Amino acid sequence: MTTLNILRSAPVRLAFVFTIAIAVLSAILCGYIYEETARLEVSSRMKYLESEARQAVLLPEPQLLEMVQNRIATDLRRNSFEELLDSGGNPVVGNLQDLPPDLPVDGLAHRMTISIPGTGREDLLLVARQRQDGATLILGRDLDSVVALQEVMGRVLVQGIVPALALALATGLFLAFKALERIKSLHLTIGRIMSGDLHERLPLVGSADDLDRLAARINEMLDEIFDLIEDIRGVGDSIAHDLRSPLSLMRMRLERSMMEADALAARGIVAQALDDLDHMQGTINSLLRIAEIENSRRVGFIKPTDLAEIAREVHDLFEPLADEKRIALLLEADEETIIQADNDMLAEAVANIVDNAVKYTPSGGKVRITVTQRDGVPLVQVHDNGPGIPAGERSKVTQRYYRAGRTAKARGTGLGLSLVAAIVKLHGFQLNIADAAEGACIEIIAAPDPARNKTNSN
Amino acid sequence: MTTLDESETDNATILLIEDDPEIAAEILGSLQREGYRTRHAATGPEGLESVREVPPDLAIVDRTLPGIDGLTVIDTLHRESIYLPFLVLSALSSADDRIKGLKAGGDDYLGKPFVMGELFARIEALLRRPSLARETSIAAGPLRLDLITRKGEREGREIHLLPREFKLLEFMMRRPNQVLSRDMLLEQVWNYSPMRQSNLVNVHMGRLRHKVDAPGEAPLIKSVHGVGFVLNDHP
Repeated sequence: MTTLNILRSAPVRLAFVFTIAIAVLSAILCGYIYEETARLEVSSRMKYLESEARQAVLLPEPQLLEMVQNRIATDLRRNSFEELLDSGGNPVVGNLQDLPPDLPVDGLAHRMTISIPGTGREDLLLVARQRQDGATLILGRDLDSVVALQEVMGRVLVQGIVPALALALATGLFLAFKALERIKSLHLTIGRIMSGDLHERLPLVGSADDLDRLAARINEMLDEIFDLIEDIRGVGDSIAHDLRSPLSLMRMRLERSMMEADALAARGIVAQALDDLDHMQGTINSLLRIAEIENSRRVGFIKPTDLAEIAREVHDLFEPLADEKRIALLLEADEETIIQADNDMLAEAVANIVDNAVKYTPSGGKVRITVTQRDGVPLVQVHDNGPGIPAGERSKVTQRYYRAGRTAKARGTGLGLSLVAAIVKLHGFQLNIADAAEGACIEIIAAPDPARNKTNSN
Repeated sequence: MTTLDESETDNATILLIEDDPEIAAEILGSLQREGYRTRHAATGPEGLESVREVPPDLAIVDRTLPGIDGLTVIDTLHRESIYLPFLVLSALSSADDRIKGLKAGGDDYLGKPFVMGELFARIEALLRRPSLARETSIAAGPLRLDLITRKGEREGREIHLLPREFKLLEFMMRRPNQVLSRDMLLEQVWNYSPMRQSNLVNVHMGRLRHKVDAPGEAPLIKSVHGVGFVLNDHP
C-alpha cells in the first residue's frame, strides 16, 4: 500500500483526527487552568496589598518609615515596591520616586505596567492610599509568581501533553494499521472469491466488532449467492440430463418413422415422438415455475385461506383419478382452519403432494389427506401406504430432479416436491417428511394465523 | 360481446403480430385452413397501425416483438379505447402480474410451444364469450341444467351429478360446440394450472360422459384428439 493510500484510509485518518482533537482539547484545558489560577492569584494578592496599605497608613510616621525601609532592605529579589510621598507629593522614602501617572489614590489595588528607575518596565500590582496627615503611601508587588505559573503551565504542556499526544498518535496508528491489516486480508479474500474461488469465506476474528459483523453478513450473502449459483448449475445439469434422453429418443423415433413404409405405423411413431415432446415441455414448464417461485420476493395474494377448503378441492380434483387406480383417497378436513396464504399457490402445493402420492401408491392402496392442528399450529398431511421414502433420502426429495428409486414405472418430471418446497419456503411454512410406519407422510406445517391468535388471547 | 354463430366465427379476421417469419407462416397457414381470414404484422408499431386502421375480430400477439413489446401494444390500444380480444403468445413466464391482469381482463395467454389445437380452442373461446347471465337454468340440445336445484336432465331422464360434475357440465353447456382443451378446463373449472401432462381431465370427463351419454343415447361429449373435449348440442 502506498503512502497516499495509507493517508486515504479511514482508520489512519481517524487516528490523526483524534490526535489533533486531543492536542486542541489539552491546550484549551491548560489555558483555562492557567487563566483561572492566575486570576485567583492576582485577586488574592490585590486583597492582601489593599489590607497591607490600609493598616500601614494608620501607623505613626516613624514606624511607617521604618517599615518602608525594612521592606526595601529585606527585598533582595526586588519584587516589592513602596514609596511614601509627603503631602506636597514629594518622595520621602522608597524605591518608586513618584506616583505612577495613572494610579488613582483610592486604596484599591490596580494592575499596571510602569517604568521603574533602574529596573525597566514591570507588570505590577499597585495601591495608593492617603494618610490623615496628607502624605500618600504607595505599595506595589510584582507578579513574578504568576509569571512562574505561566512557565509551569508551558512546561506541563511540553513535557506532559506532547508525549501523551505522541502516545495517542502511536496507539491510534497501531489500531488503524491493525484494522487496515484486516481490511487488507478481506481485500485479498474478496479478490480470490471474485477470481472464482466461491468456497472461500471472509476471515472472522471473533471479536464481534463492526468489521467482524460486516464480514459475517457478507459471508451469509456469499452462502446465498453460492446456493443460487449451485441452483442454476443444477438446473442446467438437470435440463441437460432430463431433456437429452427424451430428445434422443424422439430423434430415433422420427428417423424410424421416415424409414417406415406403412403410413399408419409411421403415424404411430410420430405420435410417440409428440408425447416425448410434451414430456419435455412439461419439464421446462416445471423448471420455469419453480425458478419463478424461488425468485419471487413476495407471495402474490396473501389472505386468510381455509386449509380445509383447499384439501377438499384437491380431494375433489384427484378422487376420480385415484378411484381409477383403485386407490382410496380419504379426506379428514372437517374443521375450518384459517391460515394466511396465497390460496392458489398453496392449492398447487397440496395438489402436487397428492398427485405424487396417487402416482406412487400401488393399486389397492390408500392416500389420506388430513387437515389438523399440532400444538395449535395448522398443518395438512398427505399420508400414503406406497413404498415410502427411505429416511436417508428424505432431505433429497425436495431437491430438484431427485427421484427416489421408486419411480421406475410412473413417469413424472421429478419436480413435484421441489415445487412444493419452493412454495412452502416462500410462505415461511415448513415442509416435513414425517416418519411413518408405512408409506410416505408429507406435511405442510403452516405458521399460526397471527390475527387468530390475537383473538384467542384476548 | 354477443355470441356469434359458427359461420361468423369461421369468417372472423385474426391479426397475428409475430416477428419470427417461420412461426408466423405456420400459424397463418393453420388459421387459414381453419377458415379464418388472417392479417400479419411483424413488429409492434406495424401491429398497432394495422389495428388502428381496421380492428380485426381478434389479435394474436407475440410477447417479445421488435420495437414495442406485445403487452405494451395491448396497453396502448386499451388506452386508445380500442377493445378486442387478445391472445398473447410467449415463451416467458405465465405467472407474472401483467399476464394475470391480462387474463382477468378477459384476454388469454398461451405459452410457447403450444399444440395448434390448443391455439384454436383458445381463439374460439375468445371469439365466443359464453353467456354468463344469471338465469335459473341453462340448456344445450337435449340437456337441461337447473342452477337452483343443481339437477341435470336429458330429455326427461334425470342425471345425478356430483358437485364437481355439475360444475364441469355447466362450464361445457355454456360453451356448446366449442373445443375445450384439457388445460383450459383445468384452469377454468378447477383453477389449477398443471405443469405436466396428466389424465386428470380425462378421468373427470370419463365419469361425466358416462352419466350424460347413457347407453343407447347419441353421444354429446366427444373427444378431440390431442386437444380436449367438445359438447355438441345436437347429436
